[in-house]
Amino acid sequence: MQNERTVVDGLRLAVRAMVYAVLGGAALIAIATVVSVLGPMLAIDLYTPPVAAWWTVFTAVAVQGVPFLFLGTVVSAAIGAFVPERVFTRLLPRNQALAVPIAGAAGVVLPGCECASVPVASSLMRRGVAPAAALAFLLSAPAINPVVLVATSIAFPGQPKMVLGRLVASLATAVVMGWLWARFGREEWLRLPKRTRTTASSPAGMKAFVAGLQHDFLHAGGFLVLGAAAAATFNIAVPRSILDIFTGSSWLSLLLLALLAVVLCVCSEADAFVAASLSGFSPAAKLAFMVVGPMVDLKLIALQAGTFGRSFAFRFSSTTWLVAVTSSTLVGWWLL
Amino acid sequence: MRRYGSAVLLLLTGGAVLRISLFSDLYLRYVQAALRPYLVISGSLLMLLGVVAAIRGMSHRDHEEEHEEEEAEDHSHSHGPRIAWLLTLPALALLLFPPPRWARTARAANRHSSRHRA
Repeated sequence: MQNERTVVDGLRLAVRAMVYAVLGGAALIAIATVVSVLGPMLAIDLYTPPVAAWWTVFTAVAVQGVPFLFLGTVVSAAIGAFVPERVFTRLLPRNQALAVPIAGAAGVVLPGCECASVPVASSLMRRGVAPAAALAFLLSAPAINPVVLVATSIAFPGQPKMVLGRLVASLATAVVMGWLWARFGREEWLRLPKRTRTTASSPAGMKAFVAGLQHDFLHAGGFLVLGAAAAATFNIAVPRSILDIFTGSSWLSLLLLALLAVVLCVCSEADAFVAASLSGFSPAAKLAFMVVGPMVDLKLIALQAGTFGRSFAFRFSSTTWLVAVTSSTLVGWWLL
Repeated sequence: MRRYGSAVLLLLTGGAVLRISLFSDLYLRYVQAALRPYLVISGSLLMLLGVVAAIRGMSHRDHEEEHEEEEAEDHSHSHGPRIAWLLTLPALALLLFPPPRWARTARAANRHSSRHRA
């Protein structure tokens, strides 16, 4: 009797799936046809060059972020569903001052751009890692992982000092920010995600993993799109000719590139190539661009605001920007 | 419809990413060539995730009376996060009207590649 029921259920599910697929497909084709016919008529009026440029930058930033955001949410959902809490409390020392550098150095294991680090850090915090350590990891992972360092060495051939400078300055910024949070951070600034620890009662790890992955990716994806829109708006609104005014003074050019890094939102694998192509700027300024970029940019701010709350995002980003600029100035002056 | 919101979003996003990376060369307009395998992998996994979400949505409706506790626990997840609907913007743009290559970025890329070759 039970077996009959499950077979009939399965059949019903399959039939329903097919019906939905056919109906949904037909509806989609109809909509696409109407839009593709009416679209160009409407678009020709609205599609001025700035608007076209906006759409290009917007989709480019969004597309760049999707694979790494997906990777990050896979790791974060896996941490949430499969890794028991004891692992983290054993790996990291209880003393926060010691845990921060270790977490910062651990950033080397998460390849990919900064979109991946926000969900992973949030998941680590949910699993009991001290926020200071998780934040140090969040800042260092996009900047010191091997893919980024290799890309930097390719973009600046014959200049190993740039790679070393990037490594040192980024790690220093991440550790300093972790220590600052450990010393001055307050609980109410950080809005931890609502999901409490349900691991004791969850049915199967796989189901929790899939549900977590779905929710995390969609949540973060929405904020990625928001950040991409902001980046595209700034990119179009600010004319590039402003850059030429500042190439003279080395201090101003450093600040300018640090600001540009926030607005441009280039994925950390590619930002070395963008920095190398900015001709006329001092090496320290390019270093600042590469150090600030993976840590503070518009899409990151949007992601952080969505995951940890707006007050946290603004406080954290502004402080990180200051620390990153200081750190790259010092390292640039010392090394380059 | 609320139940299938997540599935639709995941399928749309995955489909858009696959369309520009697997079925054409449009991805070159927006990202570097080295990113292609990552785009293909994440696009296919997203579509898989969307199918799983759709199946779960359908089976939830069938077993509504039997699994009341699961329903209560999943209630916060039954509709996806609302901000996720923003994902439709780039997804539909990529599926219907892929934006053209931006002249400025094309020039920068050409400048870099020619310097690299020299």
